[in-house]
Amino acid sequence: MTHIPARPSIRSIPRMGGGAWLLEVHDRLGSTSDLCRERLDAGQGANGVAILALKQTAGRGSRGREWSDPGGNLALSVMLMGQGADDVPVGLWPFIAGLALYDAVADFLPAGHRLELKWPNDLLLDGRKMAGILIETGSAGGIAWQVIGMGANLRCAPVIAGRDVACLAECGGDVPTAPDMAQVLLRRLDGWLACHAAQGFGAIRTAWLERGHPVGTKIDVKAGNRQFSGTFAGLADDGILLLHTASGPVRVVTGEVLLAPRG
Amino acid sequence: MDIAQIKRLIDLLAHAPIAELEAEEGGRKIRITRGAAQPVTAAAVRAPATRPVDAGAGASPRPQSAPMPEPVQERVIAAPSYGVLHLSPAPGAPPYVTVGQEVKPGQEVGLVEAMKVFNAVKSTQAGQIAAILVEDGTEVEAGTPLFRLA
Repeated sequence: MTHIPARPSIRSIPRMGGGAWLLEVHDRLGSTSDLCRERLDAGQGANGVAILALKQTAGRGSRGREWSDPGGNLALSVMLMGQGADDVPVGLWPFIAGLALYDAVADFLPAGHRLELKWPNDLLLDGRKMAGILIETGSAGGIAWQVIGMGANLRCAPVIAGRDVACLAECGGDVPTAPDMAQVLLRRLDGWLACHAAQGFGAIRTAWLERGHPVGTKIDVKAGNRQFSGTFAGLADDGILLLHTASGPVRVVTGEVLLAPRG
Repeated sequence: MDIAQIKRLIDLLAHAPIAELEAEEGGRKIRITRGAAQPVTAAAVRAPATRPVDAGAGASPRPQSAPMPEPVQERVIAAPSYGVLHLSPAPGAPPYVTVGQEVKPGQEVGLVEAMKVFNAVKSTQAGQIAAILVEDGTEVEAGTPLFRLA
């Protein structure tokens, strides 16, 4: 059970199409996404609620990976329900959330550093992972929901054996607080949702390709017991990764993408 | 109508409060219905049809007056959405369930992943896992039967 301290502070962030994000700022939580899931399971989910933990003690990455937070980093989960979840096909949320995360971090990034999205939504800072997204979906009482969990290393990069990670503070400049970053991120998410509503996934895909690893990048994909090597050939119209391999084209639905070192 | 369009229709049905969806394009008609034992099933039929289409290709016509046998309703847990099936919560971790294990309604028995979006597979009813119908790491469509319950 996620530890819930008394009385989180709540901030209202107006949305472009009316209404508002409700940002709950908790001093300390086990996992922001777990708290969202608990509320959904208890029938207490609400569209547009975002949970931020100033300290997250049991963060989760994808498929059982630990998401470590030494403190001062962003741990934010956004709950979407009903129409708020249905506005976007499930498979496109990773790209919309990834663009929002990229743009929010870019707002605070000093010149001379490079941000890049890695399919579908890891965020690399100068080639090292600094932020990630875990999206969970389901339905409760016949109503669809998504929980978009976003973690970003703002002040500190955790030490993880075998993984090269980065944080924003390494770049110098003013590092935003987690609540400030969360507010920027929610506004950016709103902007990309509006873009999708107006222009469809084509515009999202174009924006992703401008911010992601370039077409032609050599990549390896580990998908369960299978591994593919080839060059990135773009995104299909449902977001599937297209890979050119020596044995022909491959469509990647899921798997860990490893980018070859570039100059 | 291509596979991607059919997937979108299945996803639409999976998340919509409707029991059946029918679409027609280029002389081909598809009807997708939500079953009791299996949340979503898909069956493509060719239109126009001059008589009711039999379920199996090549099935002999059945007189209208003949009594229809009751369909066998297998108790299955089906994939909630399209993606790759994971039978354990993490690589190398014990599986969610094994054959012979009792499950309760709402119990998590698997995970479907597509583009890093994770959808828990939950049992819709109580029972015993009689068979695991799909191998770990297999790509499944929404509605694919994954577990058979005794």
